[in-house]
Amino acid sequence: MDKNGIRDQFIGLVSEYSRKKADEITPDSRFREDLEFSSLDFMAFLGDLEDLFDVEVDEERALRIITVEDALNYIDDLVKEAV
Amino acid sequence: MAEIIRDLLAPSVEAFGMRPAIAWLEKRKIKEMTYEELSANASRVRSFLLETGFTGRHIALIGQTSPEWLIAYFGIVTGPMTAVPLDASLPDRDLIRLLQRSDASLLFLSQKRESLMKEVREECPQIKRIIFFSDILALDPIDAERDAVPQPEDVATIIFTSGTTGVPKGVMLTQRNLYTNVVSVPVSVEPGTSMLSVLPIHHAYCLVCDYLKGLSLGARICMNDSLMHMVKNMSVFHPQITLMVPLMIETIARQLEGLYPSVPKAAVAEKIFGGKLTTIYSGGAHLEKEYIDLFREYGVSIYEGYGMSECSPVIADNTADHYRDGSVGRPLANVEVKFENEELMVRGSSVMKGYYKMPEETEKALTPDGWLHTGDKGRLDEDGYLYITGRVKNLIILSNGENVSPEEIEGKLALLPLIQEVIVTGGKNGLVAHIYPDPQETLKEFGEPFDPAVRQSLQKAVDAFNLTQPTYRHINDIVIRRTPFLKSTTQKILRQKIDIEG
Repeated sequence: MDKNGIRDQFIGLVSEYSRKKADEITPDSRFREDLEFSSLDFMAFLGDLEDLFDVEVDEERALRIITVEDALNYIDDLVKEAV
Repeated sequence: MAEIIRDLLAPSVEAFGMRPAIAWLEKRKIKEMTYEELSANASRVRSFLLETGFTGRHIALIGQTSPEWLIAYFGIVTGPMTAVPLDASLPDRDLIRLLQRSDASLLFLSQKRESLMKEVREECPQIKRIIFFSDILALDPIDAERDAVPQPEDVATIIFTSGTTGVPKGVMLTQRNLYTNVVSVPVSVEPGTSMLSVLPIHHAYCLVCDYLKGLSLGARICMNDSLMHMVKNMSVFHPQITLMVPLMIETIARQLEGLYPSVPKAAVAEKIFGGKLTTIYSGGAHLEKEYIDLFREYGVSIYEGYGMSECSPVIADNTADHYRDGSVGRPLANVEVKFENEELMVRGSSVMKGYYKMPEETEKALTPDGWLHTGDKGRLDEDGYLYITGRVKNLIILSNGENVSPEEIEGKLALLPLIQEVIVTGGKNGLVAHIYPDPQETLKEFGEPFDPAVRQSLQKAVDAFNLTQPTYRHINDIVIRRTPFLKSTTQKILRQKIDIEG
């Protein structure tokens, strides 16, 4: 999967969780403050990312994620590793 | 039978020895351990601890939920020793301080927190030995028959809980405290019933109600490996019962509501709840009634209860037979209840012995004749159902059940140079910091006291702070004030009036 493909699926999932339209979600959107994820929404979201991209998320590493861009970069790395 | 934890487990081992006591995931495969195996493993740890000189000692545990954690815990509390379970998500410094204050002489540690070892060796001289959980099954006592039985009044477990002064307090729970709480909770299940345990195991609610209670009933306790997989694991383990905090119920509710109304409810229940779930016990914080109604549509009953670590922890709970909307149920049979200036006071065999080495705090919490100040306001109705109506003490109860002392976090945030005054409150999505920036610092740095860059700079500082803290202590929103907070004549900030600009 290329970076754009990952990005589209990823934004789709963020949009589902945050109930915001895809064009309202920007790379610097913050999960907590802007997208109003609770701590547990974020954990469940990570679980769904694992299924969506068939990767294993490291919980401690993932806790350092603040923005959409941070998360996307991390997933991109995981997908690359998995290939 | 004596009122000790060992006698909660022994009858289950006797009656259901070959049945699974716990189940967990290893590389996505389900593993199980029977009651007999769990008991034999715990006995071996107990013999080892007694043989190596830890009788009467405090033994700390730092690690996430795992079979080894549970084996270590039972090894300790089935003997005359005291377990001190600590929150594995705390920063190193906090853990070191708690280890020092708890007087632990042995530490069971998760390999994930190996980084702690150096500091423990340097700063906790009272800790004679550190054992990794991964090595626990290899512990080999010379005399595997060596045994000693605790007394009901011995302290079995010390659980640290947030104090209103910002210093965590070690709640001393005796063997009798815990035993009588377990047998007084009016819940029974068929042996073999699967329960999914999703809460942190160092919390009294999880440790006592999932593990001690569940195992005393012959249930199969399934260990959730991560909150990332809480819903997925329902379809892995197919539990009938689970204990949750309101935040978990709220998160699942959003998933239920997100599914199309055209999908039959039974299919939704199968997908989200794994198809077998009938009951959720909710505790740790107040749950809005709308969730109880919503879940009922999917065939899942939610029973709200009430408790605190100081009471081992259950004080009251709703059950299938005795249930009233909006209440937290009826007080347990071993709990007496009264009200003093509206504050709920409780007394009974599950009320703690006191706070470890904090005589003043203990004196404030416990009256000489054994009544515990709960810090909550409440009332009883004519049929004996308890309602919680507010709080007396200044402690934020988050919807994940964590009690957070705002003073503790304010103290840490106030160290940031840009912050002159700060008050922390609980918001819908976690903690909110109300900040009055230091006018001189901001003027110096930005040329303007309320330059928009101040917010960015504060956010950056708060992000850095969050990284050092467990998730439940993260600041999830910042409100910037243009004036100092209103204060009392003794210069204390008036918390009730923080919305008013001076």
